Amino acid sequence: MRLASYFAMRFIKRSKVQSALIVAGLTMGVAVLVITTWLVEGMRAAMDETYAGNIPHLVVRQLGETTQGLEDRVGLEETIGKALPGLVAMTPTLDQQVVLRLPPSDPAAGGDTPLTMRGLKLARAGDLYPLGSAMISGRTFKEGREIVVGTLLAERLSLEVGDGVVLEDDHGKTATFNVVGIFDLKLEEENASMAYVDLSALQLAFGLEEAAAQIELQLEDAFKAGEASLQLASVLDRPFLEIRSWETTHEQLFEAAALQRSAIRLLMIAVTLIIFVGTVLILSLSVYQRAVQLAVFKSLGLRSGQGGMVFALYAFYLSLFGVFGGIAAGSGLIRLYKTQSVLGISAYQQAPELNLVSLVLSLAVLPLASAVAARGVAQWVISKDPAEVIRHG
Amino acid sequence: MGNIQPSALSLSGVVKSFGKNNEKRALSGIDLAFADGEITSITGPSGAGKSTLLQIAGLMLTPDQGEVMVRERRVSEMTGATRGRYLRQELGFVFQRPALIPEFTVLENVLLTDRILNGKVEASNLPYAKKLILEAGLSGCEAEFPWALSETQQKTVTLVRALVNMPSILLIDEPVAGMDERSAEVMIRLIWQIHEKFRTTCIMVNNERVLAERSDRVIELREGRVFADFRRGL
Repeated sequence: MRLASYFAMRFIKRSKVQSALIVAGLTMGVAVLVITTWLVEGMRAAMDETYAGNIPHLVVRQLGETTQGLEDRVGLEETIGKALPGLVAMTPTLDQQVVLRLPPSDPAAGGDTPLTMRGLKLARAGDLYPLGSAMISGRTFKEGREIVVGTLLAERLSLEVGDGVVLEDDHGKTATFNVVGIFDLKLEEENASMAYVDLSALQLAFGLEEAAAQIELQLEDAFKAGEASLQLASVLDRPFLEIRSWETTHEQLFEAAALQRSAIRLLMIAVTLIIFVGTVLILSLSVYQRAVQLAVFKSLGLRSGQGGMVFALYAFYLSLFGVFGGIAAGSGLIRLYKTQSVLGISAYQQAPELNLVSLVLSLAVLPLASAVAARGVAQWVISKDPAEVIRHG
Repeated sequence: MGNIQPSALSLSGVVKSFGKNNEKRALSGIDLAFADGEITSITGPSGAGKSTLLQIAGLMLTPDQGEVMVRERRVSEMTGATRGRYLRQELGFVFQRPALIPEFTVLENVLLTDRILNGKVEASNLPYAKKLILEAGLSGCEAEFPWALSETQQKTVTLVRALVNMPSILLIDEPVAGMDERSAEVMIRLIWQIHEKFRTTCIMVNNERVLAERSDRVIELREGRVFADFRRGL
């Protein structure tokens, strides 16, 4: 091993220009791979956010007609929380159809406005209900008679933070809530006809006891929803319970997202393959060019295994330098792209952080693959007649 | 009983063919024994099988049939590292073309066998290697790289490399081919010096009359067979 390492380092050091060119080529290739990985990761995260960021990936609800909604909702939530490790958000929800009336003293009072009130547990809802970041005025609701309404509704009824509103259900039961915030969810229908309150406050205000229509769930990886629904079904094992994933509730959206995910994955595989194969070929060629040296070694008593090891180490060292150089160059460029405007392209600040550990681990394969390929080429060359190789090169 | 010298190297029934279906026969049943301390010239027309014979004798090629014996030991019965080490210590091989490692200096090239066999350069070999380089007319070239030398100088370095481990058998393919008279004389002088000093067995492929005339034995090959075999003084 020491002898092989000595010869490998000699070949690297004494052919400075060739070694430098190989390392520069590998550095560029690996840097491209690092940047592509980062961009693709950013694209994938942005796409997942666009397609599945604010929708429930799984919905658990009671089958058939029921006034009380889910049975043993609290117990159900506990079981789900334990059964799904990739769970990032969970909230029970209940929709109540009401009409909104303004106090008679209000100048805008007069007409009744139909409205859907949705009760939920905001603290655990995560990105399912990103009301926190959608507030354009006031704040989100807390427990108690607090309500947030959309911008269009607020505009139409001249509602402001601090106003009181009277809400009446189908049975004529009324409840007064205070407007504590106005949101803009960038969806016209939501902004015009939805209002959000705390679930317990809604149940209490309209005498709904512990009723909840469904439990909405969000997973770390939206594309594992199908798998998670099967897992959940086996754990819950309750009759008349339906678990639906967004594959069925948002079929078109899911298909479009899955298609784009596949396209991105294919792109990534193609780039990775090109760089891996390119690296291995460059290093193999470099070994092949040293056929005469291998023949001389053989004629002086170097065994095939030793000759293979010399060039396995040669390829390993060069590709290792290339991998480290590429990671450094790629990370540097990423940092630049994130903070500076480059060639007229504005900084990509919202891009994800580069996972250096996983990148280094996955790129560790490259020196190993190069070493194996170079060893194979060297052993093939060394098996030839040395006199012929020396004569013809 | 006559004065029978032990055989340093022998070939018996050696057959070698080339080509996809072994259609080109290079050697057809060669039986030769090279006596210890003798200088032999192998001559013959182009394509007679001279270089193939030398390569088989130098264990660069394996015969299709037949056996090679070095100091009465069958090569086919030796295995792996032992074989490599034993044979490289016994044999020195000089190719027709200079066979140097361009990334190594002249001195490093000369000491290459030592490094391969022992994993390091024996300190005791260094003065001898330098002395040989000097005697070969390559004074001041130790630190040069092969590409800075002429082809003749490169070939001389290859010979010096073959000599540095003091092999008992030296095989040389066309030692003076393409050399000018002066360089050829240096080369010949070096070979004979070594031979006289260490009683090295030398087997040379060459068609140079001057070398053949000075050799103890001349073997002429034709179409892969021994056509003539002369010994000086017989």
